[in-house]
Amino acid sequence: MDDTIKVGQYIIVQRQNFTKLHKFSALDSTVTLGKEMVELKNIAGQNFFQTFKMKLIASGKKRLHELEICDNATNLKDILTSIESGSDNRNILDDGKSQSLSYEEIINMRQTLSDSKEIIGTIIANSNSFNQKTEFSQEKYIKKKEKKYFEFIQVRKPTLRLLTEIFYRQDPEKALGLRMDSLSQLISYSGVNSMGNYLIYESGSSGLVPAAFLNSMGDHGDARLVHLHPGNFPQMQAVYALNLTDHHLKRCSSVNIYSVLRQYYQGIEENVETLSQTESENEKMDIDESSRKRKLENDDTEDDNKPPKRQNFEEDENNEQQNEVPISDENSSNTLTDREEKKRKWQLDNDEAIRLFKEKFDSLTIVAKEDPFPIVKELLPFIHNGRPVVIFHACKEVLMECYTSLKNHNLLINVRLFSNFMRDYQVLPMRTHPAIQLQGNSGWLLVGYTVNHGITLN
Amino acid sequence: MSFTKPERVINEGDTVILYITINNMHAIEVKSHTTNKHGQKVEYVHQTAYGALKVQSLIGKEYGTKIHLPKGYAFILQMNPELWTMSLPHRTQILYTPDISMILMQLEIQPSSVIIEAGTGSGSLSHYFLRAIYGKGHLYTFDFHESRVDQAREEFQKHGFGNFVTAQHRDVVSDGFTDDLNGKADAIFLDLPAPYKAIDHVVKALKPSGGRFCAFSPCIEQTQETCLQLEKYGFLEIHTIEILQSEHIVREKNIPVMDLSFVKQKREDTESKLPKRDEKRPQLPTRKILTTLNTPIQQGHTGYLTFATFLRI
Ligand SMILES: C[S@@+](CC[C@H](N)C(=O)[O-])C[C@H]1O[C@@H](n2cnc3c(N)ncnc32)[C@H](O)[C@@H]1O
Repeated sequence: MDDTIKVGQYIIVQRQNFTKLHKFSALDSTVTLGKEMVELKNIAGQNFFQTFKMKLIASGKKRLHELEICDNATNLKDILTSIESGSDNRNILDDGKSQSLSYEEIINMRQTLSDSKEIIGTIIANSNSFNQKTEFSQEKYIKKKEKKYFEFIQVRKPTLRLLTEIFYRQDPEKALGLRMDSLSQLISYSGVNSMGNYLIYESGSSGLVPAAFLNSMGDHGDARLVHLHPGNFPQMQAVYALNLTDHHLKRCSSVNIYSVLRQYYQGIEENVETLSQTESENEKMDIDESSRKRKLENDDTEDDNKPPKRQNFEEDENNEQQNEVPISDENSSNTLTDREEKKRKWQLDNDEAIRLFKEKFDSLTIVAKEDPFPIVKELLPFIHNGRPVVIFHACKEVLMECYTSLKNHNLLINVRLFSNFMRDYQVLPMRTHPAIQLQGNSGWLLVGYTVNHGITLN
Repeated sequence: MSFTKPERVINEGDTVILYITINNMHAIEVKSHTTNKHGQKVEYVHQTAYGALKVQSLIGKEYGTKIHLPKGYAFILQMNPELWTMSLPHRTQILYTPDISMILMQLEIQPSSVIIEAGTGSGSLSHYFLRAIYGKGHLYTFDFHESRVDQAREEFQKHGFGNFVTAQHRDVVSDGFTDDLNGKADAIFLDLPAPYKAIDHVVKALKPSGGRFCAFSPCIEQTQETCLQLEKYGFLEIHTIEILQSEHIVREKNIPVMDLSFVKQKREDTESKLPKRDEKRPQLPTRKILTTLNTPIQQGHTGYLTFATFLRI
């Protein structure tokens, strides 16, 4: 939490319970929050967690705002509490006026009044029905209005916790249904820390799994990561969002699983051939991915008793947080040297991965859409004996079958299949109870340890 | 030195897991000799369901290889926090992998983290913190029960974490976390009967830029009081959750399948199919299914985890 916001970094913009992952790509760039467009230049050099006030500077289809630093300590605490709870409304009272405001009047008011409290207060004061509402629906009404007019935002530093939360809440499928409790246990069981060599196969977790590993490995020890993926490019969104240094990122070699295994068994081939081969093998998946572009933002100021919003397919032209985060800046141009440069990087990653394949790894983790057994079977020879294997899958049946196959082939010991139940609590004096709704799918975890499995390799 | 990083072979002094079956594994310390109940030095022999194991014979063997026993075999696994939690000597109630994993995730523990923990208890959670910060961070752990502190300190040392942990005997409710730690911690965790009485110390010990906090309480009243105090001290993102992990035991079952359709036909044609009165009923055909059972007794509750962020303004 101690560093400052810099251009080029990923940031999380929070407005009440609405969070959005965004790349702060240039000083004069903007971020879109619903109908509001916000200029970001004033956040540069400020501390993460800083609160800003949105000040309207132009209105139109999208309203343009600039940001002002809030450093008035007396009411900052109030604001912060309400940034997250949206409940700083207890002082808003109906003053008994009964005339209603027109749409134009409200629009007009938004340009003249600066403070959301004043705006909401005026709207409520002019609502005939407000007084007749029950306390419960009054509160709901205020919350709804407040969500709309709330003018404070906070800029947060992306952390693994926040990213996991944002990904899952926005659309669990975006990370294969890898819920935070399952991810946290996957990290434990895999044994990852700053000291070992780790092998993961990941497809479809938006980079959350390699991000979790890099986060736990840190950048001071000997840890190395080989990140196998099935496509032409790895999904690295969550990895990039952590704003790691280049040195730290270099601990991870992201390589195509077909290409690296082919090179391991058959030596270096013509690169071009290898690439086009993998391309066709994964064409289907890529199409699948791009048809699912959606915004990485979520909003849970929804009413408690409405079913949770499933997916958000809206497109947002100003949104850089879509599934395909560019791998690097060179990606846009496609000159010959660029291609050669990329090919070279790709070859270096493969070479480094193969060096580690020969040394063998200290754990194997699989988080994928595919049936894990054929993958485990091929990768186990590269894992030392007595090491943890962790497999996550969204479907129980797949892991049950995997369990049986692993047992039948005597490949692992201490094999266990887990799922999780997790719920939130409302904790208030005399009003404590579990949340009315909970996230029902934790996904499934299969864990075990490698032993002398009899497959010998040169 | 058996916890800190992956090792290939078993060394003298390692604490290892002897794995016989999924329900039969225990921690043993690898050493050639031990003292018997008469105080004499004798060769260390470990008794298992499959006969005696001369512990010295393990030295130099590769982890994960088969160990032959007089009446069967076993495997030796390198110790790690997950296996330690399952096998450690309980001095107190302890935390288990599901809660612990969430605690690490929510406290945003990274290798560089400076962590404060109270009470140390049996050191179950401490080992996960230590694995996570090994080589860079530091864990300060406190307990007001002196012999627990001594025992935990000895274990941390033996397991190779000595340089990254300070275990202190101290009542953190009345005395706080020592002045040396003012403004030093990235994360603070409390597993005490009255965490709410230590929030002022928590505020003092967190870094000037802020930090994450977690309290674990089995009881809702304590949780309630903790939340009130956190709010009073201006914590943000106060959030209480509960996690239960279930284990699913995979089983193949043969399900008998009945055919009742023949009852619709006249007796003559079906006579042969019906069992004679004193004849044994014929075996029904079966269908094989793959299913899971839950453990007969399941964990119904561990505790409430309350998380919060502190921000100094
Ligand atoms: C349930 S145990 C902690 C278990 C530990 N989390 C583990 O996983 O092994 C609680 C510990 O807190 C200690 N304790 C209780 N009150 C304390 C206080 N005020 N100051 C320091 N330690 C305290 C007790 O002695 C006990 O060992």
